[in-house]
Amino acid sequence: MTGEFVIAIVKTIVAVSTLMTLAALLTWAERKQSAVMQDRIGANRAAILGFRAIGLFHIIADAIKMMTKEDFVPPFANRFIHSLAPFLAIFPAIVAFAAIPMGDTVTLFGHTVEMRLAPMNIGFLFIFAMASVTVYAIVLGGWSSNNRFAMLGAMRAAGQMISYELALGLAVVGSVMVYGTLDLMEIARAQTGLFAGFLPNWGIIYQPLGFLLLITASIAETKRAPFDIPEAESEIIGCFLEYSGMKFGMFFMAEFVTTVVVAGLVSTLYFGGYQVPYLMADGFHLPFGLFLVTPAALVPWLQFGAFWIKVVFFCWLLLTIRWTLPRFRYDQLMHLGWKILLPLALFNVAATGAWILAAA
Amino acid sequence: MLVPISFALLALLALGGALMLLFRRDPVDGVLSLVVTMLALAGIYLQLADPVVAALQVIVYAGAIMVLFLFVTMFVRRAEERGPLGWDRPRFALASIVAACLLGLLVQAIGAFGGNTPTHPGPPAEIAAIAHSLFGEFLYPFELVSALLLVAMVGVVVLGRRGEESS
Amino acid sequence: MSQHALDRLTDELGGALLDSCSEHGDETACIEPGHLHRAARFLRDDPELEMNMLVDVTAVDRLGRDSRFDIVYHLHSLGRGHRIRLKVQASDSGEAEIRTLTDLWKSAEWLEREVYDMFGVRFEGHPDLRRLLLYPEFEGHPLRKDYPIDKEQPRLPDLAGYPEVDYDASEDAARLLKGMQRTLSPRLNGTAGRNGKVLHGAEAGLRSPVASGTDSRGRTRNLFLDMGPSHPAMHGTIRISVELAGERIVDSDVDIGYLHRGFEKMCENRSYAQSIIFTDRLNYVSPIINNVGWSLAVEKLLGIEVPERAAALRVLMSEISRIADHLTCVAAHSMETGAFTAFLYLIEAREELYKLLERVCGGRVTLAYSRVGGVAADLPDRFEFHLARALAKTREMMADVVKLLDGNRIFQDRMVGVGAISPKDAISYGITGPFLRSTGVSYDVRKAAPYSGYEKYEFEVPVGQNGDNFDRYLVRMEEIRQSMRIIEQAIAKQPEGPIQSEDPSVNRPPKSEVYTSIEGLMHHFKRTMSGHGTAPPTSEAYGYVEGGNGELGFYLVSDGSDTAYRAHCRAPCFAPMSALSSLIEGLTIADVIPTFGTVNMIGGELDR
Repeated sequence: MTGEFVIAIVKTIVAVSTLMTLAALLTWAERKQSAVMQDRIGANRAAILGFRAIGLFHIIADAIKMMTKEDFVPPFANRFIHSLAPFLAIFPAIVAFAAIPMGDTVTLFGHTVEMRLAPMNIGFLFIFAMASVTVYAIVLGGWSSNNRFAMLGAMRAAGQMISYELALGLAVVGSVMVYGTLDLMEIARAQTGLFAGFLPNWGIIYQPLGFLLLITASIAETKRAPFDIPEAESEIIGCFLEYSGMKFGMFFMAEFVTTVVVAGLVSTLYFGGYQVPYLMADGFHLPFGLFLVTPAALVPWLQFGAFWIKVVFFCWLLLTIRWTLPRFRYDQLMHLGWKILLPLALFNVAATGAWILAAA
Repeated sequence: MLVPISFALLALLALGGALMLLFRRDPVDGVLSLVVTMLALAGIYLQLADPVVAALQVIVYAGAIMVLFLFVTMFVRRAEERGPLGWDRPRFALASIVAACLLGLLVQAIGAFGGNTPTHPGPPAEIAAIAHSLFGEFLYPFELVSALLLVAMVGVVVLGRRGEESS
Repeated sequence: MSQHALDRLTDELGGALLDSCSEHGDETACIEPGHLHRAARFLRDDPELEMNMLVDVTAVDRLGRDSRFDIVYHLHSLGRGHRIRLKVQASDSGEAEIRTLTDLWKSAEWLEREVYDMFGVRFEGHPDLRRLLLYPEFEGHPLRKDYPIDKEQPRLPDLAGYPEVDYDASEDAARLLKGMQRTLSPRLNGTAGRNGKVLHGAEAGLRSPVASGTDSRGRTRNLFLDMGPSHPAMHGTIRISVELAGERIVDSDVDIGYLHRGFEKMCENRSYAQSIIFTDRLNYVSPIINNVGWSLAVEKLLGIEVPERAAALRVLMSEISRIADHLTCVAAHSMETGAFTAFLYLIEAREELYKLLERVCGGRVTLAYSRVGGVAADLPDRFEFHLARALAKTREMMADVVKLLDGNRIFQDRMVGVGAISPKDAISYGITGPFLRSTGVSYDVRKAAPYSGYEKYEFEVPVGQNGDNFDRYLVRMEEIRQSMRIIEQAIAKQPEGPIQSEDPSVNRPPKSEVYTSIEGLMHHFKRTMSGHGTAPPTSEAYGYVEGGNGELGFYLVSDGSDTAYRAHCRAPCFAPMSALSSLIEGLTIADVIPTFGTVNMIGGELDR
């Protein structure tokens, strides 16, 4: 009992610190990557003893700045709710990660450890439950600020997130049908082996449409460009307009944590999760009969690394999309969500069902 | 040992939220209290080892329905903007009667368990089982309820539009 | 050419035409005030004249005369190229003596408001005669000759003397709201809402400005939102008050003047040469075009021509400025629709052009390049090389932006069909430049009335079809390419010769003479000393060029001294700004941004 308790705590510390580190790195990556895309130098001014470390110290500088800034609550704002909202933003974002498997089981000091924070058979539902709670953060944050622009942002956010939750939920139903489970660990396990002899047996092969729908809807859920309508700083200045200091920082971090969670979900569902292509329990089975022996103890760690590499790749992809596309208008966003994504998701469910029936 | 304590905490939260809903003047506060109740109930379901129902409770009630409630109440004038709440006798009487009936129903429903209220984890509900009962045994009631909701929704849209045209 | 217009007007008006003259190529008709409206209507509707655009309305204060004001109207026929200036006299009685022309041209609404603001002349029948550039609390009318130039009227009282008080947000907010409502049109400030209902009281918005979705009886009500003057997309200097039903704009009011500096008053108190630096601050993205416009107007008064090389340099530098202007406009509105990368690409290209300008003028923004009678400096060494590199960079960046935006579905959805205006409305609002051309009307001053030798260059005038945001974007992008063509022609066949006119009224001695000979020093001294500079004969002229946003005109009245008696600037973005309110009605808040962006409001020239 105590052993498991310790393992759970260690797992939590490792996973949450990795998650937060990655989210913090994303704040840097966002600036640096956009700078590279836009022919700029990017963040490079923060230096310690003359070392600039390609701008990495900006993460620390940002954190210090956020924590030391004035914490402003506008007059007539609802103080309690105004302070509560940032917590509601970041808490579900972090907790949602608990359902995502980072690797298969390993044996450590005689204990079998599953590389996932919370063993649960309702993986998806848990993530969606958490995603649906984040709506409160932005709606309450906008409303309690007592500012018309923030209020407009909150209205937009509420409409957008409720609409896209539907498409998001229906997009993964296809995967649920294919694998017959809600458990993300089971889904990751099922993606081992090869498809047609040479392709990794990843979910994208079975659910290409589901992948496109999920990634679109989840960008909308993270409220990043081109779906950054609640924030749209050039139109309504945004729902966080009356936030400063660390409260703003928490909204800001929540955005990046959600990005990591989305990247993790997409890689788990459609890109094999922690699976390394051609890697079995005993080594690499490459096409054309090539075989590469790998120590059995190393395999789970290779898989752990592979998972994070995939996550980083999708984070990169999401950033690239963010810096390439202009912003939708609210009615166009609704049009896309209700009239395009939702019917497509329904079609995906029906087609998957038909395919499963035909195969059976 | 842990289970009764956490149950007591969750139950207190749920009850506290419900009471707050009754006694807070500001509608937004009321909605948020109700959200607390919903989340506490989800916690209790989880404790009964029924994560599916707990997750659905959060997604449907806390995540969708209450958001819509909040969405609407946000636009309503705040409590301090409105006049004092009057004690309207006929309305108060009517509300008391309805509340009494509801209480009776609840007492009867709880009594039907005959004291065998489950407080300890039972076998976890399988998603497949839920699906079978929803789309098998209870297919017609389920579909009828969705049709009813759809009709109500269309009605609201029509009524809303009519108001728009007349103004 | 325009003599014809004058003749027809003489036939029509008979005795009501008090006087007519033609000087510097401008036709002027002085009309009995009571007959102005008839004359204007005749000029607009006469099939042989079709003066379909009211270009400008301004006034001249002839202090000491019985009817002290001349109200000056500039009309233009886009189809036939006629131009005419109408003048009527008005007195200082405070009565509305002159009938408004708002029923004939929509542009008259803002133009007459400006005249009222600056001179206190009232127009009979104007639907909404409020101050335009100044604020309601302002006392007096600054362009009157008896308004002291050093009188200060700060809008906010000096807070330094006030004792420390506890900050009471509600009082502060109440004061602010009151002040803001005063500047609004009665339509929007709650006294008389649309359909006669009272829209919102001052106190309703205060305690909970956001929870105003319903009134006391639970009915929904509209949201009032002030976008600006401090708003990311309002470019810092403008306020658009909107009434919203959901996200849809029911009504709006555009409030300008936050960057008013008294440009015209300053020009009336400085010599012609000194005023060139003020023109830098008009359209600060393409200052050279303003310099050239001012110089050309003064040269028109003087009746001189500049040497060929100076004219070619003016063309070259103007076109570089025009590209910078268009790049900035496209960059800004694409950034505001969320395409931040496109913004930085275009700004990078603009940076190369700014470096180019810096090589010639020594400055990046305030260039003061043109002089009355020539230009300030010749091209430096290796300019062709740097020019070719800058143009190559611009082409490269534009190609990238075309890839990012042109076929982008999101960008198209945001731009196509949004903020559309018909050619008829555009002309009625007095809109010129890329905005007018996007509606399909091919009017470009460089083609219609070539100056500085523009007739010698080959270039096309791109036009759009729908007059929407996307067409304005496309027109600007194409104009950048055409400007590059002109630049390449100008640099290829640059004529040799002096860059400054030898005409005795404007010539300046070369610095070598100033420093070595007493005659040169005296000459220079005389030229620059107050009261001895360039002094055109007593007359008036309207000089106009194609600015980044359209027709940039300077109306100058000389009294024979070296200081303009009246200097008025016809700012190109003024007209589309006056149309903005009608453009955004019925659209959503998100549409305000690209529509306002493609207007390319430049605070410096709009507010002057």
